[in-house]
Amino acid sequence: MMTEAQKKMKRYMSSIERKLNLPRDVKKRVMTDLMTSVAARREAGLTDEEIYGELGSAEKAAADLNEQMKEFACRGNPWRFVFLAIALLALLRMLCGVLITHMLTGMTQNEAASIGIIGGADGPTAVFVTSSPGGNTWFWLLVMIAGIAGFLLLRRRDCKAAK
Amino acid sequence: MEDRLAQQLKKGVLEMLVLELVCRKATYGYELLQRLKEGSEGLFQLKEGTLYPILYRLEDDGLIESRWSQGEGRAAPKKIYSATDRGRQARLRRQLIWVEFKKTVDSFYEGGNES
Repeated sequence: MMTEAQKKMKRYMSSIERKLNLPRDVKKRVMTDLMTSVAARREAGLTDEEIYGELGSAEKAAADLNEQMKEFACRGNPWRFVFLAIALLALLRMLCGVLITHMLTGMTQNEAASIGIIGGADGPTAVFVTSSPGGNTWFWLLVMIAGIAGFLLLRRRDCKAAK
Repeated sequence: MEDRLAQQLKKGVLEMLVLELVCRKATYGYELLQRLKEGSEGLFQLKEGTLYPILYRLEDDGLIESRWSQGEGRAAPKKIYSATDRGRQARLRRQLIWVEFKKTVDSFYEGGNES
């Protein structure tokens, strides 16, 4: 059972955590150190009120940490969202392709693709034409992968540059 | 003006001193703050926010490492920082740099470099 004082400290700490403008892993790093600091101060004989006094209000403590930890903030490159948008558009285009085929012909894409058998009725070609989702889909799939890769790369590169 | 100079000097020296203190004894953030304050007669009176980036830079460079230590008896578990082998080597190199630096600057102030 938590005492009133423990609840108050917990609220104080989560309030600081919420106000930290840092990536999640850095936040965790800061909060574990801050928890250790509070525990050490208690063991040194400080009362909770004295601890609040030393660390300052949650707003002030968080603002101070945000200011000092700027180099760890690693805001991602805003261009990464362009890549994310490209990936989403490609995904949408692929889904639309499937849906339109389905609506227009009342067939699933596999059924639609199997029409290809007529064009390629000789053994191996027929198998290939039937099982491949069609060149267009491959193209959009590649675009989507490129978009996601760009998004992830831009995010990571900025983190490194910030260190 | 003096404030800015003191701040710039402090910034460079603190990373050196934090590594020095962690090399001497595995420790946690609050204890580091206390030892810095007491050892400098109040000149290095830092807040958590100033200390953490120094600790994280040292940790990211592989000079120190952190682990959780279960406190004895009723003591709460703490995140403890200790030096790695690379950290102990870096400590010696930094000490040499500092000695050389200090000697050079002193020689200017003592007039040894007058021409």
